[in-house]
Amino acid sequence: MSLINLWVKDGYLSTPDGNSIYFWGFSKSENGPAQLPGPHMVVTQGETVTVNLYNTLSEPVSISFPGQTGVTVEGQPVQPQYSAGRLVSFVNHAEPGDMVSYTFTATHPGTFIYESGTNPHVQIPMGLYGGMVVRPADYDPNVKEYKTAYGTGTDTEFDREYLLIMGEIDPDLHQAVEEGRSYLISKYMPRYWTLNGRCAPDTMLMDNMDHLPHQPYSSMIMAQPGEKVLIRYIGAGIGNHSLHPHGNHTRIVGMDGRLLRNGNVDLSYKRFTVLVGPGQTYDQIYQWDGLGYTPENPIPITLPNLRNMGIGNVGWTMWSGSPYLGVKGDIPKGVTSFNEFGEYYFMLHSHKEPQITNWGEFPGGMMTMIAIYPSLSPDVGILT
Amino acid sequence: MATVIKNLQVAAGSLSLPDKTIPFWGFANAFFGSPQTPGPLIEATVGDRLTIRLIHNNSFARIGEPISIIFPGQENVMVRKIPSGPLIPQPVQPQYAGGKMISLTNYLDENVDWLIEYSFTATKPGIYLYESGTNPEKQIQMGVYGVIVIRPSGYNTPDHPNYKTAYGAGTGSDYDVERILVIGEIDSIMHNDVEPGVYYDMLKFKPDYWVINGRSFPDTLAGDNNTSQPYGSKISCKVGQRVLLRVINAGFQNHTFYLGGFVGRVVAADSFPLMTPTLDATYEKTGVTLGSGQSFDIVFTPTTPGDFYLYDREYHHLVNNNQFPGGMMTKIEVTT
Amino acid sequence: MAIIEKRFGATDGWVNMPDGTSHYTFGFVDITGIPEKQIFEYRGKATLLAPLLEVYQGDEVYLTLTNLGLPSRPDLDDTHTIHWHGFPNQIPLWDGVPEASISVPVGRDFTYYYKPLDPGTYMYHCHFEPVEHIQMGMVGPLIVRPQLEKDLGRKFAYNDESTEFEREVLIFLTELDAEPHYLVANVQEFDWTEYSPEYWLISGRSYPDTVKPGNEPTLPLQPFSSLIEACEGEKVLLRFINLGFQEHSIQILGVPFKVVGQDAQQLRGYHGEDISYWRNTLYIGAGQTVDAIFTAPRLGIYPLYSRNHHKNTIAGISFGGMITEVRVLPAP
Ligand SMILES: [Cu+2]
Ligand SMILES: [Cu+2]
Repeated sequence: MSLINLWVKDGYLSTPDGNSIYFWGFSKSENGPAQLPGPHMVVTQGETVTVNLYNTLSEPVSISFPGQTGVTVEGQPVQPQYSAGRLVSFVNHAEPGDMVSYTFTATHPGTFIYESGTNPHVQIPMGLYGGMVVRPADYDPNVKEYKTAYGTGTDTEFDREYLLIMGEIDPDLHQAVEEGRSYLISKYMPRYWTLNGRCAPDTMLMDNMDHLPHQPYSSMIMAQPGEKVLIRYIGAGIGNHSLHPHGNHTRIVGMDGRLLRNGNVDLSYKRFTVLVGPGQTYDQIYQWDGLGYTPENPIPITLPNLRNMGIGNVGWTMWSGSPYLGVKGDIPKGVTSFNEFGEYYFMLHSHKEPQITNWGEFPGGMMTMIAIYPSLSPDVGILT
Repeated sequence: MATVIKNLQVAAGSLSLPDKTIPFWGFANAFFGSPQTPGPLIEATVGDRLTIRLIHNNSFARIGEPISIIFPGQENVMVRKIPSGPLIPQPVQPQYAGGKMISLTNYLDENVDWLIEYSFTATKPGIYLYESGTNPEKQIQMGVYGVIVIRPSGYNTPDHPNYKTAYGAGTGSDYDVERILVIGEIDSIMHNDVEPGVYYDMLKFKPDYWVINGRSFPDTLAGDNNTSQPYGSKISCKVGQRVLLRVINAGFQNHTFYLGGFVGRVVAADSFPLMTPTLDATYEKTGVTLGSGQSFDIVFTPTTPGDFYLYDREYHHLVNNNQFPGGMMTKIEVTT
Repeated sequence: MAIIEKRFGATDGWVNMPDGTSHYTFGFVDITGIPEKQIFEYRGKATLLAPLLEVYQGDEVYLTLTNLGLPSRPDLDDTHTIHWHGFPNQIPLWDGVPEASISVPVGRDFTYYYKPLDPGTYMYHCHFEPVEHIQMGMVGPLIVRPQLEKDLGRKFAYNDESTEFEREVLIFLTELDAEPHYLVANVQEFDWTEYSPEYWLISGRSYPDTVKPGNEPTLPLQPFSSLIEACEGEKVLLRFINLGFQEHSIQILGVPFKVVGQDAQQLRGYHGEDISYWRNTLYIGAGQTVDAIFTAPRLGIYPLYSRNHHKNTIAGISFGGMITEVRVLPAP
């Protein structure tokens, strides 16, 4: 039995180009900050989950749980809510200052979205969404065969896992809501695209940065060569996003919290670009094995004099200066390298390239990196 | 193996949105019907020969430009035209002027010809669009599209293994309740601006209404009727019944059809069943994204009574004139 | 296993649309084997699409990128890279992401090395300020042919006889927004969130140019035809590549097709299940590739078009844009 309390409140997001954007978000505690995305819910298959929603906004708010069936409020199935015959919410909501309590049994393992079911064209872009991970009933992180996305025997073992939630931001909508002005949704035009509520390069910073109090989650993916990395995507915005990881394909093993398998028939498939549709989730396994190059088995070309080459972006690079994993080379003077241990960085980004800008300026937006380290602590890449 | 004959005309009419009325073009049942969108539902059984005629229109307002029908998903479509010929059916062909394609298929010039007749054999069960192949960027947007349902043989014969299936026995497509949902979008400004025979600047295309079966919510909830948008999309079923949703995207944009909290099993895509004797490739989803022209058949079984909304997960499409609720949304009512 | 040595120059050019407009582009040009003294004659001759890179599984590919500069924008000293989109297990050095390795300044070159092991349809593009350099035209098709072709002397998409074909055509989908092309030519900035194309292209051309022959003199820098010609009963492989920024929905009127591969992977489940499938509509996202096979039906012409019909236009006027034709000829 899991009890999750969420407070809906407002706050300000920060973007790398210096904007501060009013938003609505879920908070873990009465006095804590609203956050984007909402707190990760991590529960176990078969568990009864109760979510108490406390509404501090001045309009009704609700939560819908796509993929969870049999959600109840006060023992009754959730139902649409009306005011003077007009639909207000898809499910029971909390009036301003009030609370509502949802209960369901998490019957299926996988990745799910939770999101507002009230005034959704405003409340969801404003930030009322989050991710839920349901662990298989037999999940055991200490035993390899039982550390899986969908249960032992489903070929979904993983070593590390990451959750990436996509969204878009139209600052005009946020400003209109902040100022209590009306906003024409027909004018909706995103200027920022987010992974876990942040725009690149902030996506690559660690969790819980002091200067991002409302955007606690990193989107940096870190692993060692050969490890199975479970990457969970959630499309929380209203756009379609073509997510392309460099370095290798991903194998999609589940969608919308359902394993891609019928009995013994496996329907999983490999892709180098996954088109993440709105409201949908994708569980994938990524593995980078490399090409076997080491200083002892060198690359078959001569590395040019680096002073004659372009290194990184203006003044900085994430490169080590060496072709080899775990080796650091000489980076020309005047270029700052953010490379620590000779790790490899592979970009993961939307291939709808205008989405990897912050209000039109590259680099930014829906982009992060996959870092392959020569060795990495087992504590990295755990979702809680 | 029957012959299914459908006589259609294309005419201009008036379309009602929840907060206004706009001009539209649509198919009509010939001679007596008024234009409608989607066009009249055409039903056939596998093996039937379909003969679909487009007849020049003398009773309602013509749209004032050549008209035609294409049948995406159908093979070996034949055509004849009276009186200018070909009088004996020939394979359909795109039409050219000055070396450049001007129509995706043979068309009818209402000032010259009486009728054009397309014919083909229904070979595969499923749901298919029939739609304008002439100035399609304009005419389809104006409403010139409809649906053909092709049933497996025996679908209406109790005790037949194909009884009440969309794709025949062994395809996981058995159903108790079936609903066809044609989704799309409307640019009301374009509808007001379009002039017959004049190219509309498609760069200005910016839809502002989103529809299921030609209607925006809450009009979607009304029953079938005799209006310009005759098909309702509310679904009623009992707990435990298998509901088959047949969603097809007649719009030009992508839409994500969310199943109201149910987890549905996708049993066919583009009317190709996913379960075959050698492979069960059906899969479960909470919602499906449909590219333009795509279709999915989805089955689910409600286990609790209540009302549930089905809608485009692209929430900015759930408005009429910028106000929620509206747009591409309907409801399923589950009773015990 | 052959050793393939190629040299591509990065430079600029101009492309023509059927409405008589021309648009400034960046791109690549094949300068393999050109004597060093003559490579500068290729400045300003970038093609849309960039040259086809076509290799066999197991080949060793040495691809040298030479930055020839931009004669129409001599002030702009952007570096360039080649990103082989989808290359499995790549290392950053050859991945072409400037932020994570190196890029090639004007007048310099760099050799990328690839030993492709997985057959299929890929793409390559520059990854320097990719929103600009991709939209400006630094995009090309890439095919890795399977070993099975050499073993059996016939054509296959993958190492599986079910993927046999007789003819193949590239259907490379992009869009062109004239405004950034104009602004880049005139040393001005574009707000990429305002991206809104007016031209939709197959293999660098807008219909009716798509059905003109390859290397057509009126389209000097757009060498790729996408006319699909086949004899009745022949199997035709369409290699779809989407390197635009939008999703596209493609239909061939009256011709269903079987999707045998996606993203350079044959459609097989974890245990080898055959998960290839049939469709009437191909829905493809930015950065994806699809291998689809159809059997040429009876004689005639079958239009291939975008079901997003507003894209079958030339700056808003129909017919044009994302259309080409399948022309079926009598069996020989
Ligand atoms: Cu990339
Ligand atoms: Cu790419």
